[in-house]
Amino acid sequence: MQHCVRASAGATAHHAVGTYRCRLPLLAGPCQRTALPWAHTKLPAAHRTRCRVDCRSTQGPAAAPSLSDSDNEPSSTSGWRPPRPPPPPQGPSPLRQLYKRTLKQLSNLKLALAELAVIAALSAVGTVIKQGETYEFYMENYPEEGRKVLGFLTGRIVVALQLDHIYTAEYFLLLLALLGASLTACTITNQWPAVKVARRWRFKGEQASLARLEVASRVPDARLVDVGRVLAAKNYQVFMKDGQLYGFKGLAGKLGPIGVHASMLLCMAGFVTGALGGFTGSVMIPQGSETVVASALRSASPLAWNPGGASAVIRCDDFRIDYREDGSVRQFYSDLTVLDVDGREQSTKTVSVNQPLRFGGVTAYQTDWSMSALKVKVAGSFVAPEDTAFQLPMAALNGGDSKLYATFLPAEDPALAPPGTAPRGVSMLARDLQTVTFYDSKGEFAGVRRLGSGKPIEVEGMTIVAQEVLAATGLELKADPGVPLVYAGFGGLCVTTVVSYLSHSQVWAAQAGSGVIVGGTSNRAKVAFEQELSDMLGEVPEVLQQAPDLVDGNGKADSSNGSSSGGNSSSSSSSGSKDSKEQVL
Amino acid sequence: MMVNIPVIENFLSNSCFLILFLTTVYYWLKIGFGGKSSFSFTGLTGYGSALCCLTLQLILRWVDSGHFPLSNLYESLIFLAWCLLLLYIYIEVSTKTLFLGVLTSPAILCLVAFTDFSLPTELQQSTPLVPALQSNWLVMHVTVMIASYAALLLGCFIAIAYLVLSKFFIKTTFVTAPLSSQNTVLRQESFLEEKQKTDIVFEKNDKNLKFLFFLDNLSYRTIGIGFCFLTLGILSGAIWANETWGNYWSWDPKETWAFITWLTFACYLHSRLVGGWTGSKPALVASFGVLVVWVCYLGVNLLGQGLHSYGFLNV
Repeated sequence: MQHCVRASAGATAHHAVGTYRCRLPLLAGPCQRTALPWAHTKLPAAHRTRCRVDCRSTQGPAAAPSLSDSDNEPSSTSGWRPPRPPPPPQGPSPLRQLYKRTLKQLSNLKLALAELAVIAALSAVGTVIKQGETYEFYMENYPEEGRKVLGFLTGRIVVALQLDHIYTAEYFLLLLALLGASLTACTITNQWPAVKVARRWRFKGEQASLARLEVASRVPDARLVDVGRVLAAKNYQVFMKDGQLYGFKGLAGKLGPIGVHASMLLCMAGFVTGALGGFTGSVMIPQGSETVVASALRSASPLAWNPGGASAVIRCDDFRIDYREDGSVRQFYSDLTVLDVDGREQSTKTVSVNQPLRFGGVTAYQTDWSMSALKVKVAGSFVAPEDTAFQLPMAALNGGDSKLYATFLPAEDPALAPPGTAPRGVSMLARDLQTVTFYDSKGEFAGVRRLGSGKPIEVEGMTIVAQEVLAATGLELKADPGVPLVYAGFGGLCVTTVVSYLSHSQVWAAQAGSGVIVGGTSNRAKVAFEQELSDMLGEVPEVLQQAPDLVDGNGKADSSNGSSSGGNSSSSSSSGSKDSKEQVL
Repeated sequence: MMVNIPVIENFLSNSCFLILFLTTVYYWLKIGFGGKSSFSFTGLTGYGSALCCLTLQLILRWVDSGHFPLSNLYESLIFLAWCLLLLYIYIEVSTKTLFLGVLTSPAILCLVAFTDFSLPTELQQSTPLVPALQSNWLVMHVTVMIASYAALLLGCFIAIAYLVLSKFFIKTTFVTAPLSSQNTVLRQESFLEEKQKTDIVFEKNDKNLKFLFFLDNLSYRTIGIGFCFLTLGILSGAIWANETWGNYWSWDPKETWAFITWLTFACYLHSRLVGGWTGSKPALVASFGVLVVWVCYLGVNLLGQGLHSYGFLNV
C-alpha cells in the first residue's frame, strides 16, 4: 500500500483516517473519501483488496516500460499507523505442489539429454540385433555354450530383455513417453514464460551494464538517433527513449524452439493415435478376383474404429509388369476397381508402386505380387489327345531372394500311379511374367519358352504351348487415423526447425557525452553478430564539431555544414546531449 | 555420343582428384610457411574448379541415365563431395579464414579418392531405378539428406579442430565462459573510418581465445544448419515411405540410424544450453557425432539389411 498516501494531513496518530488516495489513478480509480476525521475509519474491505490487487497488477509488464532504476518515493507522513499485515496467503494444495515439483524435475535439461542418449543407444542395439526373428534364430546365433557373443549375450538374454522386438518393448515405449513428458514440462515451465519475457523490452542506461555485454563499443562523436537509423536499415526493430536505445532482430529465432517442441508433441500424438486406432493388412488378389477389404484388415488395438472403406470390395482387373530390355522391372501396374457393398463401382485406378489407391479412409499400396496360375494349351495329354486348355495352379518355391513359381503337368493319370510315387510329368518354372522353363520327369532341362509367343515345346510326349501367367497383385491395406496429425506435426517441425536457426540479436545503446556506447548480444550467431555490429557502427555518421563562426546567435547552425547525415534538418532531439557543448543540427 | 560419356566422366573424375590434390598442397604450404593466413582467392579457385568438375560429372550422369543422379552409393558419394565443396566455399568466403582449408581439403580429397579409385567399378555404373525409387521424392529426400551429412560432417570437423587446438596447442587459462564475463570493452581504432573488419588490438592470449571462440561458434552454426536439413530429410523420407508403403516409420536400420544421428545432434545443440557447457564439452559430443554420421551414411549400407539395401549393393 506504499503508493497510497493520506489525502488529509491533519489527523493525529489515533486516527487512522481512511482517506487514502491511490497515486495511480489510471489503474485504481479515485478512492472514496470516507467519513469523519475523528473516527477510526477503516477502509471498506472491498476497496482495500481492490487497491492491493491493482497495485500488484502494476508491477507486471506495463504498456509503458519503466526504467529499471527509478523508484517511487516512499510515503513519509508522520503519525501514520502502518496497516495491518495482510493475512498469510493460503499455500497451494499438496497436489499442486507435487505437480509443480514434477514439472520442475521433468523439465531438467540434463534429464532430457540423458533420455535422448538412452533412446539413441537402445535404437542402435536394435539395428545390431536382428529384429523380429524366431526363437530358434536367436538360439542359433547367440549360442549358450562355446563362444558367446560379447562374452555374455546368449539367446535367452536376448529374448528375456525383449531385444528381439526392442522397438515395441514396454521400456522403450515408456522412454519415449518420458521424453514426451519432458517436452511438455519444458514447454510449460521454461519456454512459454520465455515468450512473455521476450515481449518485454528493457533499456540499459548505465555504462557499466552496457560494457558488460558480449560485444560492446564506444562510438565517439555520434548521435543515438543515427545509431538507431543504421540499425533500422539493417532490419532491427528500434525503440528509443530518454537517450537510450534498444533494438532487436530475429525474435522468431528465440520462439522457434517452442514450435519445435510443440510439433514434436503433435507428432507423438499422431503416432499414438495411429498405433492404437489403425488397421493394417495385406492381401493377394488374383487377376479377375475380388476381395472384401474388411476381411484383410486387422486392428491395431481394441480402440480402433472401423474406417468407412472397410466394407468395400476391391477387384483386380489386371496385373502387369513393365520390363526393361535387360529383363529388370521398370514398374508394376494393377488395375483396381473399388466396389461398394452392393456391387456398384465406386472408382477405378491403375495402381503402381508410388501411386496408391485411396478410398474411404483406407489406402491400398502396391507392395507385392505372385503368380497364381499358368494357362497352357496341351496336345497329347492323358486327359484328351487333342489341344486342351489347362489352367494349372502355381506354387511358390522357397530359396534365394527372387521369386520362383512352379507348376506340374502330369503325363499320366495320377490315380494310376503306384502309391507313394509321383507320377511322370512336366515341371514348369517361372521367375517372371516373361518366360517359362520346362523340365522333364527326370528333372532335366527341356527348354524355355516366352509367354505369348505361341511356340510349342515337346516334353514327355506332349506338345505344350505356354500362353499366360495369371498373376495376383499383392496389396498392403492401411487405415491410419493418426496420419493427418503426424503430417501436421511433420510440417510444423520442418518450418519451426528452420526458423529456430535464426539468431536473436539485441542491441542496447546510450548517449554518453559526445559519443554513444553500444553493446549487444546474439544467442546463436555470435561471431557474425560481432562482425555485423562492427560494420553497422562503421556506418554511423560522425558528428563533427561546429566551427564557432558558422553558428548564429541562437545556437542553431545553418544546414550547410557539420553532420554528414546529409541535409537532415530535424530539430535537435537527441536528448542525451544535455551536457554537450556542441551544436547539433 | 553415348560412347563418349564414360570417357568424359573418367577424365572429369581424374581431373577433380588432381585439382583437389593441388589445392590441399597449396593450403598446407600456405598455412605452414605463409605466416599470416590472409585471405586470398587462389585456394578458392582450386575449390571452384573441383566443384565444376563434379557438377559436370553429375550432369553427364543425369543425361546418361535419364534419372536424377542420386540412386546408388557412387552417385551419393560424388554428391556428398559436391555439397562439402559448396558449403566450404561459402564458409570461406563469408568468414574469410584460410585455416579451415587445411582440414577440409584433405578430407574431401580422401573422399573423392575413395569414390573414384576404391569403389568397385560395377558400383560406379549408372543403373536404372527400381520401381520404388521412381518418385519425385527421390530428389527431395536424398538431396537434403546428403546435404545434411555434408554440413554435419563439416561442423564436426571444425569441432574436432577446436578440441585439438584447445587441448594441445593453445595453452591458455581458458575458462568455459564467454568473453563477456570480463569487463572488456573492445578498443576500436579508427572505428568510424573503415568499413571492413577493423583490426582489434588484443593481447596474444585474447587473440587465441577469440579464434577458439570463432571456431566454436562456427561449428555450432554449421551443425545447426545441418540439423535443419537432417530434420527435413528424415521427415521427407517418412512421408515418402508413407506414400509408397503405407508406413512412415518401420525401424529400418537406415531410418533408425538417421534417427540416432538426429538425437545425437539434438543433444549437441541442447548441451550448449546446459549451464557452463561451452567449448569443450559440446565439441566432444560433436566428435562422437562424426562416427554416428559415418555409420548412418555408409556403415548401415555396408553391413545391414533392410529397405535401403536395394539402392546399394550389400558388401
